[in-house]
Amino acid sequence: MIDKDKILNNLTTKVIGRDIISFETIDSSNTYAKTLSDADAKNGMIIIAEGQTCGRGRFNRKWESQKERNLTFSILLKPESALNKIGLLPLLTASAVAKAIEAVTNLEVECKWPNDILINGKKTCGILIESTSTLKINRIIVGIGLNVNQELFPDGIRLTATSLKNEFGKTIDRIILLADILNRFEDMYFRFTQNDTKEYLSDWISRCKMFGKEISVSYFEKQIHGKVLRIDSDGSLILKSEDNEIKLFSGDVTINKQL
Amino acid sequence: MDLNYLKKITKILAESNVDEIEIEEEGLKIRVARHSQNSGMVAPAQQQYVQSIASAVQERQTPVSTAPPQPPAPAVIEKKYTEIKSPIVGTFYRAPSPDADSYVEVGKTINKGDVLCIIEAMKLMNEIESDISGKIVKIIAENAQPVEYNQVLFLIDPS
Repeated sequence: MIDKDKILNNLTTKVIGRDIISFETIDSSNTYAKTLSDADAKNGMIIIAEGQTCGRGRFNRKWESQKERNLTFSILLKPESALNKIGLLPLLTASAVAKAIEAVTNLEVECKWPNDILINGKKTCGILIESTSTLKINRIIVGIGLNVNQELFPDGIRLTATSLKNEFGKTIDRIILLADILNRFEDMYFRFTQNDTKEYLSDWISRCKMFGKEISVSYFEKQIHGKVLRIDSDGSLILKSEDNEIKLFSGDVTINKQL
Repeated sequence: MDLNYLKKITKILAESNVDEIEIEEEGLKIRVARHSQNSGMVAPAQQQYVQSIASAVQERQTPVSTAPPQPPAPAVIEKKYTEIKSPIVGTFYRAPSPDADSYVEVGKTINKGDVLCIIEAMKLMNEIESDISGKIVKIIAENAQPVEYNQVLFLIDPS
């Protein structure tokens, strides 16, 4: 069972994590946060579950997580400003989570465009950010699935996924880690709403090993190949492909094996 | 509409520091906008950009007496429709996943709050909800294509 008091005792935040809704099992914390009525949805609220029956990634891809070993939670935000550069939020969130993992475990944490967190080249954390808008963004749901103390992974992902425990060698206090993530997330988000992205974006860039590498991007039914030049100020990826510079907002990235 | 005139405005925008130029004269309103600060835009993106300008011009055109007798009727009708614009830069999707049905089709009646589409930016999935009730008249953006900030995505006939 999630120890709410312990979370609250370790928070230094003003709004993030001050309201906690916890479940033993839920279909998906993002889905729950999306369907909350406007009156019930509080800015900064977190929804956390020990187990998810329908954890999901982008385009409803399944996210599997062993019960009571990991962190699966959503942060609900109700921004007041227009946030036209919201595409930066996945990168900035990844940076905040990476900093927290590093503080708790001392592991070297790598970020991969746009929202992947890797340790020793294996995926450790999935971030699914969903938002709703009419004329401006009304609600943002930051879903984070972090493999903390899970030791065994199914065959299909064993070579590409890992947990903090598998890399660090020790069981990690999930609540201390969660509070650290929330503390850093609030600092990042407050800065972001003031258009101050410098610190977390440069941290993200320093963790990204894609620059100068040849990559392939699947983008719907197309494949684009090119060399990573830089990240644009809106978070998009700039590739050099033949003689063109290509600006990407979407796509699944594979880093080509170096010859 | 003189295409050279449009080209000139686009060029002025490209060489300036502003994100948007709006000109209104003799009942004709043109708005040319961009979001990206990246000067080295790619060919597909440029193509998309030009297409969006062209469609925006067509929709906003009000016939004037000196205008050539080209099909003015659609422009007059479209004037009363409400535009749904993109609040962010990203990729436009008509369905929640590649194998799912589209949220809306032309002719469908929608209610305020219904989801119309998703714009994805760096794997952030933003659902656009309609702020009005009505009927979908036109879907302007193409599935899985990039859209600019403030680009018109749908035309809705308010009920």
